[in-house]
Amino acid sequence: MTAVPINAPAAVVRLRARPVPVTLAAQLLRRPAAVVSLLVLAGLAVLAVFGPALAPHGAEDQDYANILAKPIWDGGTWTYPLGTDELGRDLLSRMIVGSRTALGLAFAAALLTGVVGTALGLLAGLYTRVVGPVIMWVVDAQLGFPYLVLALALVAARGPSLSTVFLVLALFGWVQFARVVRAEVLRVKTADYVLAARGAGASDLMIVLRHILPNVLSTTIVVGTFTFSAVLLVESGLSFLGAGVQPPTADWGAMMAGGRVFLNTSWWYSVVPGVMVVITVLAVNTLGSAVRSVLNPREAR
Amino acid sequence: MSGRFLLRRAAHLIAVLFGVMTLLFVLLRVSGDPAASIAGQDATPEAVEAIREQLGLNRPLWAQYLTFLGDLVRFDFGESFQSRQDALGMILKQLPASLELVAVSFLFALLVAIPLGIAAGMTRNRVYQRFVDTVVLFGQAVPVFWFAIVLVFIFAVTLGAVPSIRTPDPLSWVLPVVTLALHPIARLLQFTRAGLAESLREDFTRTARAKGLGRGRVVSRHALRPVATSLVTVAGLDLGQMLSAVVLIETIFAWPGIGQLLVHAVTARDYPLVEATTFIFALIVVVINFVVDLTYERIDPRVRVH
Repeated sequence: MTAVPINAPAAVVRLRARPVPVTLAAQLLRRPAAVVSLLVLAGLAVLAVFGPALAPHGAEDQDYANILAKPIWDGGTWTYPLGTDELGRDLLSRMIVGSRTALGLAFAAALLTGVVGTALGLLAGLYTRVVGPVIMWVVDAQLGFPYLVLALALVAARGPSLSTVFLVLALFGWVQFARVVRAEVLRVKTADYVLAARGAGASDLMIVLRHILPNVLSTTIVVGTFTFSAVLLVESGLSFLGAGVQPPTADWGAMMAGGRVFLNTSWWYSVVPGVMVVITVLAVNTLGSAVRSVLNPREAR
Repeated sequence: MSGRFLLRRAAHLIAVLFGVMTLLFVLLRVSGDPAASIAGQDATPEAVEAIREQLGLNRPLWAQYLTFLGDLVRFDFGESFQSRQDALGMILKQLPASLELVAVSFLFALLVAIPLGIAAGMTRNRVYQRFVDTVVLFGQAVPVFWFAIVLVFIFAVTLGAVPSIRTPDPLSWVLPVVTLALHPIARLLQFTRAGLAESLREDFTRTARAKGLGRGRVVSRHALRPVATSLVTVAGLDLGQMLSAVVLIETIFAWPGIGQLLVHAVTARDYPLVEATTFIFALIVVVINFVVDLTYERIDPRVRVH
C-alpha cells in the first residue's frame, strides 16, 4: 500500500483500490494448491448439502443379513462398497451423510464464533479502559483450560445433545479472533487515516465500519479458516469420546469410535472416516495459508 | 529476577485463576441444569428437586458462587458420586500417570523437532524441505485419536510389535508418546525452521559471519537466540494443547491418568469428580503459562521493561 500525499490532486485520492474479495479471489486462482483445496472443499460441500440424496442407502437403515460386511477390496460387493457396521448399516452412506453433521456443525460454529470474536475484539481494542480488560480477562480464563476439558465439563453440565455440541464448538475459537482483532485495532487506531477521519468529525461507529473493520477483515479471514479446521477436530474428538453427536446420527468422529472395537477384523470402519477429516483439514489449512500469503506476502512461511 | 516483575506476574496469575474459577462456575452451574443432568432423562420432578436440595442448587446464585470459590480454593471438591471416595484423592492417585506421559512426549517432541528444524533452517536441500513441509502440514491436520488408531492397527494389531494398551512393558509407552508428540513436533519444527531462516538473514548474523566465525558457531551463539523466545511461546501453547490431546490418548490406550478419569466422570455424570478434574487441568495450564512468562524474562531481558 502506498501512502497518498496530503496535497495530491483530488482525482488521485478518489482512485479506489479494488475491493479485497476481488483481488483475493483473482490471486488465489493463480495458485495451484489453493485451486485444488477449493475444488476439494466444493466437493465436500456438495456431499454435505446433498448427502442424503447421494448416499446409496439410508444412513440409519439396518441390514441384519449383512453385518460387518467386507468392503469391495476385500471380497465385498458393490451393494456396500465400504462394507457395513455392526448393525448392518452401509458405511459409505454413513460417511456421506456424516459429512453434513461434521461439516455443518463446524461451519456454523466457526461462523458464529468468528462474528462474536471479531465484535468483542473490536470492542476490546477501542475501549481500553474497562471493556477491553474485562474481555481480555475472560480470554485469559478460557485459555487457562485445555479446550477439550472445558468442552467435556460443559457436556457434563448440560448432557450430551446436538445443541450442547453446537454451544461447545461456538464457544471455541472466539478467543483467537478477539485477540488478533484487538491487536490489529490497537495498531490501526493511531494510523494517520483514522486520526484524520476522527479529526473530520466521524463518529466511533463510522470509524469502525469504514476504516478499522476493512483493515481487520483480511486477518479474520485467515483466522477463520484455521478456526474451522480446529473446530472440526474438536467436534470429531468430542464425538469420538461419546460426548458429542449421539447415536444413531451419522458422524465421522462417532464412526471412528464405533469402529475401534473392530480394528482386528474391519480396520477400514474407523480409519476411513478419519481420512475424510484429514482431507478436510488439509484442504482448509492449505487454503488458509494461501489466503494468508496473498493478503500478507511478507508473513508467508 | 526483579521483584516488581515477579509481583506483576503473580497478580496476573491470581486474576487468571479467579477468572478460571468463575468461568467454571458459569459453565457447570449456570449453563445447564446440573440437577436434571445428574438425575437423568427419566427422573421424576421430585427426584430432580431432591438432588437440587441435596447439592444446594436451590440457594441464590451468589451464595452458590461464594461456596464454590471457597471449596475450590481449599481444594475441597467433595466425594465422587460413584465411588464415594474423596475426589481430590482419586485425582492425585492418577495425576502422575498423566504428567509422566505429557512430560515424556514433550521431551520427545523437543528432541525430534528442534534438531530437524535447525537442519531445515540451514539447508537449501529441496527434498529435505519438502519432507519438512509434509510433516508440518500433516502433523497439524491429522486428528490425534485417528493417528493413534492407525498406529495401533499397524504396529499393534498387524505387526504385534508393541502393546496397544498400557502394560508394565516399557514398550507400551511407544505408541502413546509418539501420537501425543505429533502435533508439537509439527509446530515446533515449523517455528524453528522459520525463526532460524529469518534470523540468518539478519544483520547481526551477517556480522558474526563477517568476523570469521564458523557456521556452527554463528547458528548456536547468534542466530538461535532470538528463535528461543518464540519457541518458548510455542512450547507453552503446545503443552496446553497436549493436555487436551492427553484426554483422547489416555482413553485409547487405557492409560490410567486424569484424562481417562474425566471421561469416565462425564459419562457417569459424576459431578464432583468432573468439577475437580477440570479445575486441576486448568491449574496445570495456568502454572505452565506462568512458568513460560518467567522463562521469557530469563532469556529475553527486554520483557522486563513491559
